[in-house]
Order: sequence, then structure tokens, then C-alpha cells
Amino acid sequence: MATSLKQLSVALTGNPNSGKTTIFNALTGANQHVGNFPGVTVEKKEGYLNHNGYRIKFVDLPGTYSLSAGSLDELIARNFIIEDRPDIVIDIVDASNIERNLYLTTQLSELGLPIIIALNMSDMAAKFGINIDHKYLSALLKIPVVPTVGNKEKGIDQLLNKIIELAESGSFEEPANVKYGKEFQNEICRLCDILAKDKETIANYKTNWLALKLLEDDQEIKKMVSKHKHAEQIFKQAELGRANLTKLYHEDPAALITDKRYGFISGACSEATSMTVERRHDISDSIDYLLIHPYLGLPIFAGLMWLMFHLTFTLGEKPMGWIEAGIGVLGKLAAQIIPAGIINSLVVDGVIHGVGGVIIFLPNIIILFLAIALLEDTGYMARAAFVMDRIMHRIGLHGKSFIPMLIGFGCSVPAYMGSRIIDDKTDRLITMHVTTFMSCGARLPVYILVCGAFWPKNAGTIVFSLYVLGVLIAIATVKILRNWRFRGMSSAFVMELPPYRVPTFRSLLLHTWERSWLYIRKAGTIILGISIIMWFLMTFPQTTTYSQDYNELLSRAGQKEAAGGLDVIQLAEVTQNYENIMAAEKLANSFAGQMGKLIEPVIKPLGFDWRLGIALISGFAAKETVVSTMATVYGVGGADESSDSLRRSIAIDPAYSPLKAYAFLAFILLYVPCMAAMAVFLRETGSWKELLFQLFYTSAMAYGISLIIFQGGKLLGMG
Amino acid sequence: MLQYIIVFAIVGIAAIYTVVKLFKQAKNGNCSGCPQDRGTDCACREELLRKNK
Repeated sequence: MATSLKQLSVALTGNPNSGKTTIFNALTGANQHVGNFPGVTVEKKEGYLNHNGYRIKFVDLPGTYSLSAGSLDELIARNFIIEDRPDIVIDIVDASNIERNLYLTTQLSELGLPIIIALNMSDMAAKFGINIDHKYLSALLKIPVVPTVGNKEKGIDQLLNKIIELAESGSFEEPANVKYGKEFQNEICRLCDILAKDKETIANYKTNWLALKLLEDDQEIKKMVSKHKHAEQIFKQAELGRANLTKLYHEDPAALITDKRYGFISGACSEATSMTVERRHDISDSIDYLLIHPYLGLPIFAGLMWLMFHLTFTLGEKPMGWIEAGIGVLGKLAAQIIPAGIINSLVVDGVIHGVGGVIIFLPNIIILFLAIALLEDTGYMARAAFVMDRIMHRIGLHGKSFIPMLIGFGCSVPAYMGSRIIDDKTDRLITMHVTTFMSCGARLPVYILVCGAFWPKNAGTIVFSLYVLGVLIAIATVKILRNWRFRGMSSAFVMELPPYRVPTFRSLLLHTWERSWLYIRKAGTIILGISIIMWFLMTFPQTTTYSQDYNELLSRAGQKEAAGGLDVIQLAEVTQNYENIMAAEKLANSFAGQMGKLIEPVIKPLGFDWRLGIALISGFAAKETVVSTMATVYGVGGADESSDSLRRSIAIDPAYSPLKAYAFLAFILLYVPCMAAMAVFLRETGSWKELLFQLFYTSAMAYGISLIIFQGGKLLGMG
Repeated sequence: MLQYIIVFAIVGIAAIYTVVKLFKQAKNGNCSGCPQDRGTDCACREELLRKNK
């Protein structure tokens, strides 16, 4: 009769002393066969059980702490799982020592086989004061979890049922894997490309896993890969990758991988377990006690963010002044060298004012990204996401969504792409829609310019308030979208808590340099191009019909001075005044002026004039161009070559007030991100409908909030 | 007159360059490296490999 039964092979693996053999005995009873694993003298126990139409063969693998091939037992267990490919792997986890035991689980889940966790000795864990929410743990790890007490044969039937259920379903969910970070992923990508060139040799292996093992310098895997057609190239690339990672982190990649795995486990355990007694306290735990404290965590996060923006301003002020002065000198020099005329205006007002206006904020950008890199590399950003997790859960998302949102503080483009870490399509879409409200680095120069002009003493606090406003709008948006467009609850995720580490100088430098160089490159390419176009639009047509004959007025003023009616200073003032009015009228009649006037009625209720209107339009290409456009407006529109800095020009402009400025900043924060970001949004969502919704929603939100700020402020008598 | 010809040429080149650059950027996603956790299907991979060569 046994031949009519369906065959199923199940491997039992787990740490030594996890109760593996007890479970094996409970499953197979006396029906066991003892032999050796091929070629070695390590005992191999096999047992059989007929259950629900299946003949299940259980193989008891040697107890191991990991699959790193550091010992013979580990190697045997690993080779058996990879080469014999059992239908299901049961991972016996000692619940009373869950963190250490889950280390093996993280490695097993990378092999791409169906796994069931037998959460053994759950009675002991309860006795030690450890409460494990096994259902939540299962949802986090995306692995079925069955609580068992091997020596009392508790949970054995449930375990068998789960085995059959998994076998019957014919498919299994990919377990949640440890994320090793950008640098590791880049090295893995490179190795995967070469490994994929000869699929036959590595047929049994997942290329991602092989690449990771090569970065770990796993000798057994290297032996196997030596048969690959491109072995030499692979080893060279692996060595290069290891060297890059070592140079970056000052640590062996294998140790870093271990750290990441424990970070993953620590996150899963923090979410799914609770302790009724104080069990373990290392340095990370002590720091975490404070940083992810239910009540203190959020104020600490907010405080650190405020400090970051405050330092961005205060430390950036001096170098910013130096660059500003340098650009001023360059402008004057160019104005003297190039003969007066249209080319002079193009170079001075268009190129130097336009691009220079953006370049002066480079020190602030460097400081901001250095601070972000510092928070990321020390492991704090993961804690920030953890702290936000509670809030995100309450509004219908999980902390994992906060990670792309945090990336969004740098740039929306990688943030949208980073949303791919979220498996659930609805969660991903919501995350992408709200990531837009995270203020990207490109908006910072606009904030610095405007805040520096209107609130020089509290600029950092005002910028911080904008970032908070962005987060609040994002939270409100999640709530709106959850209730209106995407109903249902979010799926569970592991929030990783990597151990704290002292960041290396090289890594900090590299991360900061990447972003800063992108900023410089952008200033020299797109911003330069747009500055020239904006200059053209603000300078042409050259023929302007003025509201008065200013030349006549100027000559009359000259005659008055000759007759003694005006002194030299008064004449200079009058002349300057007329020239300024002429320049302003000329600008208003330019192509850009006409375009701006066209949209002015729409933006007037927000307190914006046409100049801000064209700055906002140019911002669609890249947010920094709002600054360069303003710089060109004041360059072209101001007749005085030696005029003050752009910030002062804006501050003394009677057309603007602090209330209008804040409404403008809120608009900049909330309205559509740049073209590149929108293109990526479309590519990632694959839906024009979502893109159009995004464009409409962000524009409506920007308009609505700015309107409330301006009109509300006016009602309160603020401006 | 010559000044105007030079200026129009510069503006024309800038306009074409900017449009091409913006489209290229939109297509490539302004890639400056793989964002964290992207996996091997990373859209930036080609760019990274090209840079690495």
C-alpha cells in the first residue's frame, strides 16, 4: 500500500540542543534508520511516517549554528539541503534562545526552499519570561511557525498538518530576506551578472546566495565555483568586491554580513517578542532603550532632525558667504571684461547669477548629506524607522514604508525605486504617493534662500517646520488614501535593528560626496541650461513700450541738476529709481513676464506674483532652478550691477512678506516633484492613472495648504 | 547683429541640450547608484556596471 502514497522528503535542521532529535523522534517514533552521510563518518538518521496520504521521509541533519561551512557539520547540513533539495526544511528553533537560533533561519531562508519553523521549547521560553507572538513572527519572516514542546509531544500534529498543507499547496511564499544594504547589493549585482553566464554549473544554487557566499570568502563555494566557465573573472570580481567593502567599512565583509543578519533578527524579535523580565542588556540594548522608547523615541528623533537643519544653516553660513563673495567677484569681473551688451547680460545675469545662485548652497548640501550619512551609518536611521513604525501602523502603513520616505529626504528618484522593498502592491502605491511629500535635497536651496531672507535668526527652525509639515501631510495622505482609494490593512514586515557602529570616515565621505557631486553636476548641466533659457525668456522681446517716457524723465532730472535743483547724490538716486522701474517693466513685458502674468490670477490668492509663478514653473525641471530663476529675475530685473546678495534683494522687495514667503515654501514642499522623479514614478507604478492622480493630488494639496497659510495668516493679521 | 546671432545660437544649444538631458534623466531615473534593498533587478545596474568598467 505504501507505494500508492505520495513521497515527501523533509529535512530537520536546527542549532545543537534545540531539541531537534526529540522532535525527530516524536515525528518518526521507532521507524528510524541510522547511516552515514556520503563520504564522511557523520551519522545520518532517517525516519519514515505515513500521514494523510503521504509517505514522509525525515532526515535529521547535524545540529549547526549556521550554514557558513565553518565545520563539517555545517557543511553537511548545507550540502544536503542544496544538493538533495528536500521538499521541505523544518527549522527547529529554541524559543528560549530565539535570537541565536534565528541566525540559522536567516541563512536557510536565502536558499530558496520551503521552510517551517518549529518553535520548540515554548514552555521553557514562557518560564524565562519570554512571550513570543508566533503568528506575528510568522507574518514578519513569511515562514510558517508552529509552536512545539518536543519532549511533551505538543504541537507535533500541528507540525505534520503544516507539512502536508505546504506540500499540497505546491508553492510557498518567498521568506523575508536580510537586506545587506546598497554597497553589498551593488557587489552582489556585479557577481550575479558573471555567475549567470554559465547557468549549468550553478544549476542547484541561487545566484544571489552564491554571490553573497563569495563575498563571505566561503572556501567550499569557491571550490564549486572554480568549475564555472568564468571562474577566474568571478574570483577577481569577488576579491575586488571584498576589498571595496573592507575599505569602506574597515571590517571583513563576512563580519558585516553577520551583523546585518543579527540586525534583521533583532528587529524581528523586538516586534514579535516581549520580555516579562530583564534578560539581556548590551550596549546596543541600552542605547535602544532610549532611542526607541515608546514615549521618548519620537521627541529624540524630532530633536535630532531639528539639530540637523540647524547645523545645516549655522555651519553653512560662513562658507556660503565665501562662495557668494567669490561669485560676486566673478560677476563683476565678467561685467568688466565683456563689452556691455546682450552677451554681457547673458553671461552675468543668466549664467553667473543663475548657476551661482544655486552653487552658493553647496556647503549646506554637504552638511545635510553628511548628517544624513552619519545617522544612517551609525544605525540610527533604522531606529528612526522603528520609532515611526508605531505611527505608521496606526495610520495603516508599516515602518518599512518610512525607509523609502527617509530616502526621499535625499532624492525622490531613489525613494520611488526604493519602494520596491514593499511587496504588497497597495502598500507600495500608497508609500510612493506619500514619499513625494518628503522634502528632497533639491528643495533645500530654495528654503535656505527664502528663510535666510525672512528669518535669518530662526532659519533652521523654519526649515525643520517644513519637513514636519511634509511628514504630517504624508500621514494625512495615507489616511485619506487608505479610507478612500486603497482599503485594507498593511502586511507585516521585519524592522531591522542593526547593531550600532562607529562609521568610517571613508564611508561618510563617499556618501556625502556622491550627493554633493550630483548637485554640482546638476548645476553645471540642467540648471545651466535652464538658467540660459530663463534668461532668454526674461530678456526678450527687446522692444518694450514703457508706461512713461523714462529717457525724457532722466534728461529732465539731468537738466534740474545742472540748474542746481538737485545735488549729485539726489540725481544718482532718481536715476537709479527710473532705471529700476524700466528694468522691472521690461521684465514684465518679456516672454517670461507674459507667461507669468497669464498664470498670475490663479496664484494671486496664494499671495504669489508672476515672478514666483515662473519660478514655480521652472521648478518642474529641477527644484533648484527656482533659485536660479529668482537669481535671474533679480539679475535682469535689477539695473544695479553691484546689487546686494539675492537674499537681501528678496528681503527688501516690498512685494514679499514673511507670510507670503512661508506660503511659497509650503507650495515648493508639496507641489509636484521634478520631471525625472515623475518619470520614475510612472515607470515604477506602470500606470498613467497613478501618475495623473499624483500630479493632481500634489498640486491640489500644495495649492490648498498655501491658500490656508496665506489667507488664514491674513485673517489673523499676520501680513 | 553678431552678438544676437551668438546669443541665439547659445540659447538654442542650451534649449536642445536641456530637453535631451531631461528626457535622458527621466529615462534613466537620474541614477546615482542603486538604492538600498533593490535586489539584482536594479534599474541602475547597467549604469553602475558601465561606470565600473
